Amino acid sequence: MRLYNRRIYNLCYRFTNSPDDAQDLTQDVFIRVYRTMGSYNLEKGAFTTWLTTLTRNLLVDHFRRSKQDRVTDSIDAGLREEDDSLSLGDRLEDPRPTPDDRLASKETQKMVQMALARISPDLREAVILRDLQDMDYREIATVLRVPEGTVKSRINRGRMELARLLSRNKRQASNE
Amino acid sequence: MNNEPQNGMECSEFEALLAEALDDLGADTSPAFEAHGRSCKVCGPMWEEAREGMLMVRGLAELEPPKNLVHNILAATSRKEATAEQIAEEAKLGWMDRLSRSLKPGIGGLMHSRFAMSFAMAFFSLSITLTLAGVKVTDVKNMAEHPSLLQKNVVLGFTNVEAKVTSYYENLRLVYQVQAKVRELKKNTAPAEGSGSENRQQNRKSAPEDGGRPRPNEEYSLERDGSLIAQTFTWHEGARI
Repeated sequence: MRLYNRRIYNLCYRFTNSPDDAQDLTQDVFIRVYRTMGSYNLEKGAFTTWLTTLTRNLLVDHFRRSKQDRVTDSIDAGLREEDDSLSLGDRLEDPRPTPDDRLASKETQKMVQMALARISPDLREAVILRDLQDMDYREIATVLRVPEGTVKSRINRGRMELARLLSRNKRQASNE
Repeated sequence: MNNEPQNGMECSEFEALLAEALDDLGADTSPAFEAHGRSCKVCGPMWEEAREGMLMVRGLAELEPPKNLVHNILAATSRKEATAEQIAEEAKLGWMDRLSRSLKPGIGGLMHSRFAMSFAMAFFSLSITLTLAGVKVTDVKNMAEHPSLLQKNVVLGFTNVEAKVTSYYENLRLVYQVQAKVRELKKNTAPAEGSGSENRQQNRKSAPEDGGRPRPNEEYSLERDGSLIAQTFTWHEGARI
Protein backbone atom coordinates (compact mmCIF):
# COMPACT_ATOMS: atom_id res chain seq x y z
CA MET A 1 0.00 0.00 0.00
CA ARG A 2 2.83 2.38 0.85
CA LEU A 3 4.24 1.59 -2.59
CA TYR A 4 1.15 2.72 -4.47
CA ASN A 5 -0.54 5.33 -2.30
CA ARG A 6 1.55 8.18 -3.72
CA ARG A 7 0.77 7.12 -7.26
CA ILE A 8 -2.97 6.78 -6.59
CA TYR A 9 -3.12 10.05 -4.67
CA ASN A 10 -1.44 11.92 -7.51
CA LEU A 11 -3.73 10.37 -10.07
CA CYS A 12 -6.79 11.33 -8.03
CA TYR A 13 -5.54 14.83 -7.32
CA ARG A 14 -4.66 15.57 -10.93
CA PHE A 15 -8.07 14.41 -12.01
CA THR A 16 -10.22 16.03 -9.30
CA ASN A 17 -8.07 19.10 -8.59
CA SER A 18 -9.04 18.81 -4.92
CA PRO A 19 -6.72 17.54 -2.15
CA ASP A 20 -9.65 16.49 0.02
CA ASP A 21 -11.39 14.58 -2.76
CA ALA A 22 -8.08 13.01 -3.72
CA GLN A 23 -7.51 11.83 -0.17
CA ASP A 24 -11.02 10.41 0.15
CA LEU A 25 -10.80 8.71 -3.20
CA THR A 26 -7.39 7.24 -2.45
CA GLN A 27 -8.83 5.84 0.74
CA ASP A 28 -11.80 4.43 -1.16
CA VAL A 29 -9.48 2.88 -3.72
CA PHE A 30 -7.56 0.96 -1.09
CA ILE A 31 -10.71 -0.13 0.68
CA ARG A 32 -11.98 -1.40 -2.67
CA VAL A 33 -8.65 -3.12 -3.29
CA TYR A 34 -8.89 -4.70 0.16
CA ARG A 35 -12.34 -6.05 -0.63
CA THR A 36 -11.75 -7.20 -4.19
CA MET A 37 -8.18 -8.40 -3.98
CA GLY A 38 -9.43 -11.91 -4.53
CA SER A 39 -10.77 -11.00 -7.95
CA TYR A 40 -7.37 -9.90 -9.26
CA ASN A 41 -6.02 -12.30 -11.84
CA LEU A 42 -2.33 -12.01 -12.65
CA GLU A 43 -2.85 -13.55 -16.08
CA LYS A 44 -5.20 -10.76 -17.14
CA GLY A 45 -2.66 -8.01 -16.66
CA ALA A 46 -0.21 -6.23 -14.41
CA PHE A 47 -1.25 -5.23 -10.93
CA THR A 48 -0.60 -1.57 -11.74
CA THR A 49 -3.02 -1.74 -14.65
CA TRP A 50 -5.65 -3.42 -12.49
CA LEU A 51 -5.16 -0.85 -9.74
CA THR A 52 -5.33 2.05 -12.20
CA THR A 53 -8.49 0.63 -13.76
CA LEU A 54 -10.07 0.39 -10.33
CA THR A 55 -9.02 3.96 -9.53
CA ARG A 56 -10.32 5.22 -12.83
CA ASN A 57 -13.70 3.60 -12.22
CA LEU A 58 -13.95 5.32 -8.87
CA LEU A 59 -12.92 8.62 -10.43
CA VAL A 60 -15.62 8.28 -13.06
CA ASP A 61 -18.19 7.52 -10.35
CA HIS A 62 -17.01 10.52 -8.39
CA PHE A 63 -17.11 12.70 -11.46
CA ARG A 64 -20.70 11.71 -12.17
CA ARG A 65 -21.71 12.24 -8.55
CA SER A 66 -20.10 15.60 -8.10
CA LYS A 67 -21.62 17.10 -11.24
CA GLN A 68 -19.19 19.92 -11.06
CA ASP A 69 -19.04 22.51 -13.73
CA ARG A 70 -16.99 21.16 -16.50
CA VAL A 71 -16.02 24.09 -18.59
CA THR A 72 -14.47 22.56 -21.61
CA ASP A 73 -13.14 24.82 -24.23
CA SER A 74 -13.54 23.74 -27.78
CA ILE A 75 -10.44 22.82 -29.62
CA ASP A 76 -11.69 24.90 -32.53
CA ALA A 77 -12.12 28.04 -30.47
CA GLY A 78 -9.62 29.89 -32.57
CA LEU A 79 -7.11 30.39 -29.85
CA ARG A 80 -4.21 29.30 -31.92
CA GLU A 81 -1.45 31.79 -31.92
CA GLU A 82 -0.46 33.18 -35.28
CA ASP A 83 3.07 32.00 -34.97
CA ASP A 84 3.43 29.91 -38.04
CA SER A 85 6.36 31.80 -39.41
CA LEU A 86 8.89 29.46 -37.80
CA SER A 87 9.41 26.00 -39.20
CA LEU A 88 9.32 22.86 -37.01
CA GLY A 89 13.10 22.57 -36.99
CA ASP A 90 13.48 26.22 -35.99
CA ARG A 91 10.98 25.77 -33.18
CA LEU A 92 12.78 22.77 -31.79
CA GLU A 93 15.90 24.91 -31.60
CA ASP A 94 14.07 27.92 -30.19
CA PRO A 95 16.38 29.69 -27.76
CA ARG A 96 13.46 31.17 -25.78
CA PRO A 97 12.71 29.74 -22.33
CA THR A 98 11.20 26.28 -22.65
CA PRO A 99 8.02 25.20 -20.85
CA ASP A 100 10.27 23.37 -18.40
CA ASP A 101 11.80 26.68 -17.39
CA ARG A 102 8.42 28.31 -17.05
CA LEU A 103 7.22 25.54 -14.79
CA ALA A 104 9.84 26.49 -12.30
CA SER A 105 7.47 28.79 -10.51
CA LYS A 106 4.73 27.52 -8.29
CA GLU A 107 2.25 29.79 -9.94
CA THR A 108 2.82 28.11 -13.26
CA GLN A 109 2.25 24.71 -11.70
CA LYS A 110 -1.03 25.94 -10.37
CA MET A 111 -2.00 27.28 -13.79
CA VAL A 112 -1.22 23.97 -15.45
CA GLN A 113 -3.25 22.11 -12.87
CA MET A 114 -6.16 24.49 -13.40
CA ALA A 115 -5.93 24.02 -17.14
CA LEU A 116 -5.78 20.28 -16.71
CA ALA A 117 -8.95 20.42 -14.65
CA ARG A 118 -10.71 22.34 -17.41
CA ILE A 119 -10.17 20.01 -20.32
CA SER A 120 -12.70 17.31 -20.97
CA PRO A 121 -12.47 14.24 -18.71
CA ASP A 122 -11.82 11.86 -21.61
CA LEU A 123 -8.81 13.84 -22.74
CA ARG A 124 -7.69 14.58 -19.18
CA GLU A 125 -7.51 10.98 -18.08
CA ALA A 126 -5.61 9.97 -21.22
CA VAL A 127 -3.04 12.75 -20.75
CA ILE A 128 -2.64 12.03 -17.02
CA LEU A 129 -2.14 8.32 -17.56
CA ARG A 130 0.44 8.91 -20.28
CA ASP A 131 2.36 11.95 -19.09
CA LEU A 132 2.05 11.67 -15.30
CA GLN A 133 1.53 7.97 -14.67
CA ASP A 134 3.92 7.01 -17.49
CA MET A 135 1.75 4.16 -18.75
CA ASP A 136 2.19 2.86 -22.27
CA TYR A 137 -0.55 3.06 -24.87
CA ARG A 138 -1.61 -0.53 -24.55
CA GLU A 139 -2.06 -0.24 -20.80
CA ILE A 140 -4.00 2.99 -21.20
CA ALA A 141 -6.20 1.32 -23.80
CA THR A 142 -6.89 -1.48 -21.31
CA VAL A 143 -7.75 0.94 -18.52
CA LEU A 144 -9.94 3.18 -20.65
CA ARG A 145 -11.40 0.27 -22.66
CA VAL A 146 -10.79 2.01 -25.99
CA PRO A 147 -8.54 1.16 -28.95
CA GLU A 148 -4.95 2.32 -28.95
CA GLY A 149 -5.59 4.67 -31.87
CA THR A 150 -8.25 6.43 -29.83
CA VAL A 151 -5.84 6.68 -26.93
CA LYS A 152 -3.22 8.39 -29.10
CA SER A 153 -5.79 10.72 -30.57
CA ARG A 154 -7.06 11.70 -27.13
CA ILE A 155 -3.57 12.28 -25.85
CA ASN A 156 -2.75 14.55 -28.78
CA ARG A 157 -5.96 16.52 -28.44
CA GLY A 158 -5.56 16.78 -24.70
CA ARG A 159 -2.04 18.11 -24.96
CA MET A 160 -3.04 20.61 -27.62
CA GLU A 161 -6.04 21.82 -25.72
CA LEU A 162 -3.96 22.22 -22.62
CA ALA A 163 -1.39 24.29 -24.49
CA ARG A 164 -4.11 26.54 -25.89
CA LEU A 165 -5.71 27.08 -22.51
CA LEU A 166 -2.39 27.98 -20.98
CA SER A 167 -1.56 30.26 -23.84
CA ARG A 168 -4.87 32.04 -23.45
CA ASN A 169 -4.44 32.36 -19.70
CA LYS A 170 -0.99 33.75 -20.25
CA ARG A 171 -2.31 36.33 -22.69
CA GLN A 172 -5.07 37.34 -20.30
CA ALA A 173 -2.55 37.67 -17.48
CA SER A 174 -0.28 39.86 -19.60
CA ASN A 175 -3.21 42.10 -20.66
CA GLU A 176 -4.15 42.65 -17.02
CA MET B 1 -6.95 19.11 -42.28
CA ASN B 2 -5.43 18.57 -45.68
CA ASN B 3 -5.79 15.06 -47.03
CA GLU B 4 -3.39 15.58 -49.86
CA PRO B 5 0.06 14.21 -49.25
CA GLN B 6 2.76 16.75 -48.55
CA ASN B 7 6.32 15.54 -48.69
CA GLY B 8 5.10 11.98 -49.01
CA MET B 9 2.86 11.98 -45.92
CA GLU B 10 -0.80 12.76 -45.28
CA CYS B 11 -1.93 14.81 -42.28
CA SER B 12 -3.76 11.80 -40.80
CA GLU B 13 -0.55 9.81 -40.92
CA PHE B 14 1.30 12.68 -39.31
CA GLU B 15 -1.26 12.86 -36.51
CA ALA B 16 -1.07 9.12 -35.93
CA LEU B 17 2.69 9.36 -35.50
CA LEU B 18 2.57 12.57 -33.50
CA ALA B 19 2.06 11.06 -30.07
CA GLU B 20 4.86 8.55 -30.39
CA ALA B 21 7.17 11.13 -31.92
CA LEU B 22 6.56 13.44 -29.01
CA ASP B 23 7.11 10.66 -26.52
CA ASP B 24 10.59 10.16 -27.85
CA LEU B 25 11.69 13.64 -28.82
CA GLY B 26 15.36 12.83 -29.06
CA ALA B 27 14.86 9.92 -31.40
CA ASP B 28 15.29 10.28 -35.11
CA THR B 29 11.96 10.63 -36.84
CA SER B 30 11.45 9.79 -40.47
CA PRO B 31 12.44 12.50 -42.99
CA ALA B 32 8.92 12.46 -44.38
CA PHE B 33 7.45 13.18 -40.95
CA GLU B 34 9.82 16.09 -40.33
CA ALA B 35 9.32 17.47 -43.81
CA HIS B 36 5.54 17.32 -43.44
CA GLY B 37 5.72 19.08 -40.09
CA ARG B 38 7.80 21.86 -41.54
CA SER B 39 5.67 22.43 -44.62
CA CYS B 40 2.08 21.76 -43.46
CA LYS B 41 0.38 24.80 -41.94
CA VAL B 42 -2.00 22.61 -39.96
CA CYS B 43 0.30 19.90 -38.69
CA GLY B 44 3.18 22.23 -37.85
CA PRO B 45 1.25 24.19 -35.19
CA MET B 46 -0.35 20.94 -34.03
CA TRP B 47 3.10 19.53 -33.34
CA GLU B 48 4.08 22.65 -31.47
CA GLU B 49 0.97 22.77 -29.29
CA ALA B 50 1.06 19.08 -28.47
CA ARG B 51 4.73 19.35 -27.56
CA GLU B 52 4.15 22.35 -25.35
CA GLY B 53 1.21 20.75 -23.61
CA MET B 54 3.14 17.54 -23.02
CA LEU B 55 6.11 19.35 -21.52
CA MET B 56 3.91 21.36 -19.23
CA VAL B 57 2.09 18.33 -17.91
CA ARG B 58 5.29 16.39 -17.48
CA GLY B 59 6.76 19.35 -15.63
CA LEU B 60 4.17 19.01 -12.89
CA ALA B 61 5.86 17.94 -9.69
CA GLU B 62 4.76 14.76 -8.00
CA LEU B 63 2.73 15.58 -4.95
CA GLU B 64 3.42 14.21 -1.52
CA PRO B 65 0.31 12.55 -0.09
CA PRO B 66 -0.88 13.76 3.32
CA LYS B 67 0.97 12.13 6.18
CA ASN B 68 -2.18 10.76 7.72
CA LEU B 69 -3.33 9.10 4.50
CA VAL B 70 -1.66 5.76 5.14
CA HIS B 71 -2.86 5.81 8.74
CA ASN B 72 -6.40 6.60 7.63
CA ILE B 73 -6.37 3.81 5.06
CA LEU B 74 -5.08 1.31 7.61
CA ALA B 75 -7.68 2.48 10.12
CA ALA B 76 -10.46 2.25 7.55
CA THR B 77 -9.52 -1.24 6.38
CA SER B 78 -9.05 -2.41 10.00
CA ARG B 79 -12.43 -0.98 10.92
CA LYS B 80 -14.03 -2.83 8.04
CA GLU B 81 -12.49 -6.05 9.28
CA ALA B 82 -13.47 -5.34 12.88
CA THR B 83 -17.00 -4.49 11.85
CA ALA B 84 -17.36 -7.82 10.09
CA GLU B 85 -16.13 -9.63 13.20
CA GLN B 86 -18.47 -7.61 15.43
CA ILE B 87 -21.44 -8.50 13.25
CA ALA B 88 -20.56 -12.18 13.52
CA GLU B 89 -20.13 -11.87 17.28
CA GLU B 90 -23.37 -9.96 17.80
CA ALA B 91 -25.25 -12.55 15.80
CA LYS B 92 -24.43 -15.04 18.53
CA LEU B 93 -25.72 -12.82 21.36
CA GLY B 94 -29.18 -13.08 22.86
CA TRP B 95 -31.57 -10.17 22.89
CA MET B 96 -30.86 -9.44 26.57
CA ASP B 97 -27.16 -9.04 25.85
CA ARG B 98 -27.82 -6.79 22.89
CA LEU B 99 -30.17 -4.71 25.02
CA SER B 100 -27.64 -4.37 27.82
CA ARG B 101 -24.96 -3.36 25.31
CA SER B 102 -27.16 -0.72 23.79
CA LEU B 103 -28.01 0.65 27.24
CA LYS B 104 -24.44 0.82 28.43
CA PRO B 105 -23.58 4.23 26.94
CA GLY B 106 -26.77 5.77 28.32
CA ILE B 107 -26.45 4.49 31.87
CA GLY B 108 -22.70 4.97 32.12
CA GLY B 109 -23.11 8.17 34.16
CA LEU B 110 -25.40 6.44 36.62
CA MET B 111 -22.79 3.93 37.71
CA HIS B 112 -21.47 6.14 40.53
CA SER B 113 -21.26 4.89 44.11
CA ARG B 114 -24.42 6.60 45.35
CA PHE B 115 -26.45 5.32 42.42
CA ALA B 116 -24.84 1.92 42.76
CA MET B 117 -25.93 1.69 46.43
CA SER B 118 -29.47 2.66 45.51
CA PHE B 119 -29.49 0.04 42.78
CA ALA B 120 -28.16 -2.55 45.22
CA MET B 121 -30.91 -1.76 47.72
CA ALA B 122 -33.53 -1.93 45.03
CA PHE B 123 -32.10 -5.21 43.84
CA PHE B 124 -32.20 -6.77 47.30
CA SER B 125 -35.74 -5.54 47.87
CA LEU B 126 -36.82 -6.96 44.58
CA SER B 127 -35.08 -10.28 45.13
CA ILE B 128 -36.63 -10.64 48.61
CA THR B 129 -40.06 -9.79 47.23
CA LEU B 130 -39.65 -12.32 44.44
CA THR B 131 -38.45 -14.95 46.89
CA LEU B 132 -41.44 -14.39 49.15
CA ALA B 133 -43.73 -14.49 46.15
CA GLY B 134 -42.25 -17.85 45.18
CA VAL B 135 -40.60 -16.71 41.96
CA LYS B 136 -37.39 -18.55 41.19
CA VAL B 137 -34.44 -16.97 39.40
CA THR B 138 -34.15 -19.97 37.11
CA ASP B 139 -37.71 -19.34 35.95
CA VAL B 140 -36.84 -15.76 35.08
CA LYS B 141 -33.73 -16.92 33.21
CA ASN B 142 -35.74 -19.43 31.25
CA MET B 143 -38.28 -16.80 30.47
CA ALA B 144 -35.54 -14.42 29.33
CA GLU B 145 -34.06 -16.99 27.00
CA HIS B 146 -37.42 -18.10 25.69
CA PRO B 147 -39.89 -15.22 25.66
CA SER B 148 -42.57 -17.52 24.29
CA LEU B 149 -42.63 -19.35 27.65
CA LEU B 150 -43.61 -16.17 29.48
CA GLN B 151 -47.33 -16.63 28.96
CA LYS B 152 -47.16 -20.31 29.84
CA ASN B 153 -45.31 -19.60 33.07
CA VAL B 154 -47.76 -16.88 34.08
CA VAL B 155 -50.75 -19.17 33.47
CA LEU B 156 -49.07 -22.04 35.29
CA GLY B 157 -48.25 -19.83 38.28
CA PHE B 158 -51.81 -18.54 38.46
CA THR B 159 -53.19 -22.09 38.30
CA ASN B 160 -50.90 -23.21 41.13
CA VAL B 161 -51.93 -20.35 43.37
CA GLU B 162 -55.59 -20.95 42.59
CA ALA B 163 -55.23 -24.66 43.42
CA LYS B 164 -53.57 -23.82 46.78
CA VAL B 165 -56.31 -21.36 47.75
CA THR B 166 -59.03 -23.79 46.75
CA SER B 167 -57.41 -26.59 48.68
CA TYR B 168 -57.07 -24.35 51.77
CA TYR B 169 -60.73 -23.42 51.80
CA GLU B 170 -61.77 -27.00 51.14
CA ASN B 171 -59.77 -28.09 54.19
CA LEU B 172 -61.25 -25.31 56.26
CA ARG B 173 -64.76 -26.32 55.34
CA LEU B 174 -64.02 -29.90 56.28
CA VAL B 175 -62.77 -28.74 59.66
CA TYR B 176 -65.94 -26.78 60.33
CA GLN B 177 -68.08 -29.69 59.25
CA VAL B 178 -66.21 -32.04 61.61
CA GLN B 179 -66.57 -29.53 64.47
CA ALA B 180 -70.26 -29.20 63.85
CA LYS B 181 -70.63 -32.94 63.83
CA VAL B 182 -68.68 -33.31 67.09
CA ARG B 183 -70.82 -30.68 68.78
CA GLU B 184 -73.94 -32.39 67.64
CA LEU B 185 -72.72 -35.75 68.95
CA LYS B 186 -71.82 -34.20 72.30
CA LYS B 187 -75.22 -32.65 72.67
CA ASN B 188 -76.84 -35.96 71.92
CA THR B 189 -74.66 -37.95 74.32
CA ALA B 190 -74.62 -35.47 77.27
CA PRO B 191 -77.88 -36.59 79.06
CA ALA B 192 -76.82 -40.24 78.93
CA GLU B 193 -73.64 -39.46 80.85
CA GLY B 194 -75.48 -38.06 83.91
CA SER B 195 -76.02 -34.54 82.76
CA GLY B 196 -72.27 -34.02 82.80
CA SER B 197 -72.16 -33.19 86.57
CA GLU B 198 -68.93 -35.04 87.14
CA ASN B 199 -67.18 -33.17 84.40
CA ARG B 200 -68.40 -29.92 85.72
CA GLN B 201 -67.05 -30.72 89.19
CA GLN B 202 -63.63 -31.59 87.71
CA ASN B 203 -63.58 -28.40 85.81
CA ARG B 204 -64.40 -26.46 88.90
CA LYS B 205 -61.59 -28.13 90.87
CA SER B 206 -59.00 -27.55 88.20
CA ALA B 207 -59.75 -23.85 88.12
CA PRO B 208 -60.23 -22.59 91.67
CA GLU B 209 -58.83 -19.17 90.78
CA ASP B 210 -61.88 -18.28 88.74
CA GLY B 211 -63.69 -17.11 91.83
CA GLY B 212 -66.97 -18.71 90.87
CA ARG B 213 -67.14 -16.99 87.46
CA PRO B 214 -69.01 -18.78 84.74
CA ARG B 215 -66.43 -20.78 82.60
CA PRO B 216 -66.90 -21.85 79.03
CA ASN B 217 -66.97 -25.39 77.95
CA GLU B 218 -63.88 -26.15 75.78
CA GLU B 219 -64.01 -28.34 72.74
CA TYR B 220 -61.04 -29.50 70.69
CA SER B 221 -60.91 -30.96 67.28
CA LEU B 222 -58.07 -32.15 65.07
CA GLU B 223 -57.97 -32.00 61.38
CA ARG B 224 -57.59 -35.31 59.65
CA ASP B 225 -53.92 -34.85 58.67
CA GLY B 226 -52.99 -33.11 61.95
CA SER B 227 -51.23 -30.23 60.27
CA LEU B 228 -53.92 -27.75 60.97
CA ILE B 229 -55.30 -27.55 64.49
CA ALA B 230 -58.49 -25.68 64.86
CA GLN B 231 -59.36 -24.77 68.37
CA THR B 232 -62.78 -23.49 69.10
CA PHE B 233 -64.30 -22.26 72.25
CA THR B 234 -68.00 -22.58 72.76
CA TRP B 235 -69.68 -20.58 75.43
CA HIS B 236 -72.72 -21.93 77.06
CA GLU B 237 -74.45 -19.03 78.52
CA GLY B 238 -75.82 -19.70 82.04
CA ALA B 239 -74.04 -23.05 82.41
CA ARG B 240 -72.99 -22.24 85.91
CA ILE B 241 -71.76 -25.14 88.01
